[in-house]
Amino acid sequence: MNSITLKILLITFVFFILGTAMALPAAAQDQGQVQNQEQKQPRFRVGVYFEGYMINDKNLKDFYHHSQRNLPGFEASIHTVYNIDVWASYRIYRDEAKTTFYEKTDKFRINAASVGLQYRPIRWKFLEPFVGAGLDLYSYKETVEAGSDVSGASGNATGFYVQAGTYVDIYKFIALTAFYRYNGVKKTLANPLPDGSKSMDLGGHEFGGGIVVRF
Amino acid sequence: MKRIATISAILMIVSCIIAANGDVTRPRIQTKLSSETVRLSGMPGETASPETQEALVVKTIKISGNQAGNKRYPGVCENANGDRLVIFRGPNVSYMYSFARKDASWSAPATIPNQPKMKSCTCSDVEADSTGRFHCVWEDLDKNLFYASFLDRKWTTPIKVNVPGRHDMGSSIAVRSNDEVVIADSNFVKSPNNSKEIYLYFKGKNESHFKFKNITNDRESSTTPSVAVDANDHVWVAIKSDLNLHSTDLITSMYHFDQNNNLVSSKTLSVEGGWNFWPQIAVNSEGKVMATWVLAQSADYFSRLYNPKTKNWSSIERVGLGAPTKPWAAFWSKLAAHGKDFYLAGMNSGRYLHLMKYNEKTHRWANVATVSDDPVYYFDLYSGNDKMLIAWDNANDPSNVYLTTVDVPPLGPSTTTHKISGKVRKDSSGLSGVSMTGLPGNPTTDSSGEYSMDVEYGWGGTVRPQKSGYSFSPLSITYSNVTSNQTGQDYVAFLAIRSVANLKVEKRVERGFFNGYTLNILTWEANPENTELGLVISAQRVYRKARTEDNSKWARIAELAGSVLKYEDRNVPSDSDYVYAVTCVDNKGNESKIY
Repeated sequence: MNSITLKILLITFVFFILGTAMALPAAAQDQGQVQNQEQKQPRFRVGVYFEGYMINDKNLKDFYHHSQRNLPGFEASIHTVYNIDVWASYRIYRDEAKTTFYEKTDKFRINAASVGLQYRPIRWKFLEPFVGAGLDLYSYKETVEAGSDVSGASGNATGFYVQAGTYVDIYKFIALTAFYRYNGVKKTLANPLPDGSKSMDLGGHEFGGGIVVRF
Repeated sequence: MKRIATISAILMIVSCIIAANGDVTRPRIQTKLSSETVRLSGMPGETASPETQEALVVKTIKISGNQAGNKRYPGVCENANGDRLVIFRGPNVSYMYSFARKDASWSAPATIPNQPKMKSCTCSDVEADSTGRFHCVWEDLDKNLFYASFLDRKWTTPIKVNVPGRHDMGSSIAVRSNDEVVIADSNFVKSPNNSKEIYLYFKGKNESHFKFKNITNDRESSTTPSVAVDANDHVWVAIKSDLNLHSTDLITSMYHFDQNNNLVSSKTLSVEGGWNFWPQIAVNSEGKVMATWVLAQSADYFSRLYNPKTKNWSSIERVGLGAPTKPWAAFWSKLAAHGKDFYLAGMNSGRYLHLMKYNEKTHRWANVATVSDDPVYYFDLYSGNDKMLIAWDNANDPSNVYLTTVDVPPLGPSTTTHKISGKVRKDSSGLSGVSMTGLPGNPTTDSSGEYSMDVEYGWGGTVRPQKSGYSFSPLSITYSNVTSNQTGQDYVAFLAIRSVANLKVEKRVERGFFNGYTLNILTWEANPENTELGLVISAQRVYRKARTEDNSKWARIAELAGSVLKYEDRNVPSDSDYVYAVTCVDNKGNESKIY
């Protein structure tokens, strides 16, 4: 993703947060109307999904020889006001390769957690589109097979995400979901990589679909 | 008138006969010796050898300065630079010296500084070492023997040489090739036998005092030793021996010590007993040893020659010069080797000094120069670079010291050959077929591993043994100026183990995602030549250096089993540029060369 696209997404995210913040006080003035609307929709959503994660970091893609990993994810949200939910997700990114000469097994894992807001502006027939944004909280770890004199490493990284998608109502309590998410998670390394790189970009594109239970 | 004329004629004939006989029986005295004279050698004394005489140039100059007293006991020496030193007894019971650079005039006689007080200084001797330093000994009769050295017109402080007992009579000095000074003297020791023993004293080049060795333990009256050193630094000593104290049954004995001062052999040289006195010994350039002595009751000098090749002493030869018999103990002689030749300085019965030369072919001594026109008291003989030097004092009172030079062939390269020989050993046996390159003709070792080759006098070169499949220790021996036989030039051969073949180096990186390192992978093959030689490779050693470093920087980084064909040099800097070598070590510990 180029820098211009990233800026547009950031601006969208800022306006979204600002709009939500402005809407909440107005909601308090028309509380009765709001309460009618709120009572018509479920408060909690819990779902699982399956996604493709296209990680940005070129070194990771080169070393582990994958530009995309498919992985399951979990999400949950709580409805607040004006079709705005507090939303969270957790997924595990895994990859594996061999060390370059002795071919010891080298495993790489990212525990990716995201927390943010999600806005569902309208409901049109059985579709309920949404947009969202928030923080990414990643931890990563590399583990090399025992017996190797190459050591692994671990660390944490933070960033942001923006996403868009839609729910597809099937039954009153069940909906399908499809989404696209972009993560911006960069890390400056204290110790450079063997090729001399000093930064790492764990962010990337996610797209996938799942099923959500509403209640 | 006619009868008168007849008688006169008879008287004239008789006078002529008497006059003619007088010329035969009296040495010819041509000039006074207070100024330099030049002459051809004259006739020897009345008992001189009938050998053909050589025409030699003889020059005599006066060294001393008319000092009071007599019995100067001079000693003389010339170093390799041609500088000359004469020491002699001065008027005040002290030793004096006079020195001359090559072809320069003599210094005025002066007293050797810092001399200990002496009672009765007597005989002296001088020798030079390889640096040109003169080493001198002189005697305080029946008391002490003193030593000092002289170089660049400076004397060392004289020191007392004899430590045990008291010095008796007779001393001699020689110098080894490493400039170690060797002195022989007669020393009277009370314990255990109140006997006169011959001691050898040794002083290394940088040592300040002498170590000593009694070589005649249990003798009773051994005196007047003479010492010489051969080209192998062996020490030869001739002494007067007396097995029965105060008897007149004196004999001449010889002792031979190796370079470590261990006794090699000893032998009684004289057969006829009596006053065998002042024996002399010298070694020539061929390693032959000459010993001479005087036998008072026979009134002559005698000699024997030792041939190291046959290890035999010749029969006793009579010099034929005649010898004085009085005063008692004052019938000394001096012997010196000059190249292959031996010269003997001795007095005839009239105490006239002659220089005799030995002819090895005829086994006879011949007079080559009549040195003195006056009766002589004491003298010293030294082989100079191209002259025989004879320092002597006349028997007058006061007496003076004179230096007579006799031209002889210069020392240096000659047509004499010397043998370089030895053995090439492999394990406990000899190795045949080894080419000794560098020796004339490149000889090869015989079936017992031995080699031998004659080289010319003064030969120089580097000898390197060579045989395919073998290495040698030492790799070579370098010779310069060979002037004696070089035996025992041995080498040890061992199979020439080779380093590994087809050594290849590949730089690789071992890395995970976050961490990694560079390593160089070395692979090679066993050297087929080692296999052909049947060598058992017990170990292999890996060496490394930066490509830009010289060969002294090779550093061993690993030792591997003999069958390994790969090595990984891990964690090398990624930008390093190393080169490697892998050597092989056989089961005897022999390691191949890096290249």
